[in-house]
Parts: sequence; structure tokens; C-alpha cells
Amino acid sequence: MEPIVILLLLGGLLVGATLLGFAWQVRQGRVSRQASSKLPGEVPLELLDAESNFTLLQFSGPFCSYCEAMRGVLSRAADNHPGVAGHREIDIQDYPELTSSLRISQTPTTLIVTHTGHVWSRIHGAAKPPVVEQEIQLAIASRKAASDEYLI
Amino acid sequence: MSTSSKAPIQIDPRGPRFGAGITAVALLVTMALALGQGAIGSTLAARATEPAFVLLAILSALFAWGAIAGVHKHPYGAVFKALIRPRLKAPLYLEATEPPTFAQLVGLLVAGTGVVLHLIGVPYGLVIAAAAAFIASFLNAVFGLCLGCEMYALLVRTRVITGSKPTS
Repeated sequence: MEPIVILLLLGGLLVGATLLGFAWQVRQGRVSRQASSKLPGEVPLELLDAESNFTLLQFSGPFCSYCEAMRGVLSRAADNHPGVAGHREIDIQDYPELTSSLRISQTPTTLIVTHTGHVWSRIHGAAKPPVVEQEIQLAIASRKAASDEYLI
Repeated sequence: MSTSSKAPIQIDPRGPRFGAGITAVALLVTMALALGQGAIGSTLAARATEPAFVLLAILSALFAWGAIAGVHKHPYGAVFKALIRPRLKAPLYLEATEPPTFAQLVGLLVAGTGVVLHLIGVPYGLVIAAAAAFIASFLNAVFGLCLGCEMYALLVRTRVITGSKPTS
């Protein structure tokens, strides 16, 4: 094979891999919100922090590069919001049914769950502290809005 | 609060990424050598002595070293500790050794497939396996993405891997 063709092939591979990397990077720390009022909630109550309004439920796995980092981010976020947000971490191997029913396809995945077991939002992959803080604030605001509605 | 009960060995996450960088460059050289030589040898002995094959066999052996002994005992790790780590700031967080060790096993499976395909005389088998291994190690080195680790959660979700862990 001509050297120029080899160079083009390998260059193409390099560009393709770089694009893949950027595609992954953009998706890391992405948040999706889902409001469900199904009864009962999707998450069993025994997995939640009973003393908090919300639980930051982290799904970790045995082969997870960023679970350690995310554990630190989430536990600090929970410490900043005593009584409001608690941090719990579970291993996907221990809860295969839940992993499947909640469609957990990467570790870490963090669900922000209400005290009734409803998933409020989902953080895909590792996220920086401001992203977690923003989700907690939004969850608090939505809870307040809901309780105001109830009072009226 | 953490639910992990065992105390795993923790390493600087930049160590395995440094190793993946070396591997990625070596895989690029492997592919260039394989594509440059044209048709593969007609006899087993000829194929087993081609430079691209020898290089991929060495890389497979290094993957095996990492997968079996653990990534923290890999020779690249020693190079990182001696030459690179002293020049860097302290890491922001540490990483368990299991994810990068699992990645070494995935690397061994991919590179090993290339070795076997080449030995039985499949054209481009070596190049395609080296390309797949290159993508994974490049993503690991440059973006910190562990492709094998991402796959693992999907395998649990789709029940390919069952969560039957011995309860202790």
C-alpha cells in the first residue's frame, strides 16, 4: 500500500476516534428530567434517605472510572443540604432488576428521587458540583411549587 | 456515606491514561507496518515473524500482564510513577484499580483476536483488531473514557451479566 494511503487511513481513524471522544464528552453530566406520578414510585423506599426530602441515588458498578469522583461530589452536595438532600450509593450488580427497570446504562448514573420514590431527574455519567447543585435547587423549587398548589 | 465494604487499592487515574497513550502510539505503528508490507505471509512461520505481528504480540502480552497482575503492577505504571508523577500536581481524586484492569482484559481480548486471526492467515484481521484496540486506548488516553467500563453497565442492564454476587 502507498505510504500516502496509509497516512490517510490512519489519519481518518484518528479523526473518527476524536469525534467519538467529543460525542461522549458532551453527553457526560447531561441531565434529563422526568415527572411521573405513578403509584408506587419507581424506586423502593428502603433505598432512600428517610430523613431527607430528596435522595441523590448513585448507581455505581465494579468497573466504573468516575464513581469515586462522583461519590465525593454527591456526598459534599448532600452535606450542604442537611434534611433536604441525602446521598445513597448502590451497586448495579446488587440490583439488576432495578438497573433494568430504571434503564441505567452507564455508571455512574445519579437519580434525584423524591421521598415518595419518584425519579425527579437523572444525571448521566459524572457531573461537576454546579450541575448537582442546580438540580437540587430545581428539585426544591418544584417541591415548593407543588406544596403551594396544595395549600390553595 | 459509602456502601463499599472492601478497601480497594487506589491509584492516580492519570497512570493508566499515560499507559493507554503509549499503547495507542504503538498500535498506530502496528497498523502502519501491517498496511505497509502488503500481502501477508503465505506460511505460518512467515506470518509469525512479520514486524507488525511481533509488535501486536508484544502489546497483547502487555495487556495480559495488566489484566492478570492488575494495572497497578503494569510496567507502564512504574514508568509513570518514576518519571511523570513527580512532575504533576496531586490528583483531584483517586480511582480503584478494577476499572483499568478490566480495560486491560478487554484490550487483551481485542488484540489477542488480531494475533490469532493473523496466525491463521486472515487478511486484514490484524489491522482491524489493532484499529479497534487503538480507538479504545486513544479514547482512554485523551478523553479519560473507559470503553470497556461503559459496556459493563449496559451488559448488566440487558441481563447479559447477571448480578449474582455471593452475599457475605
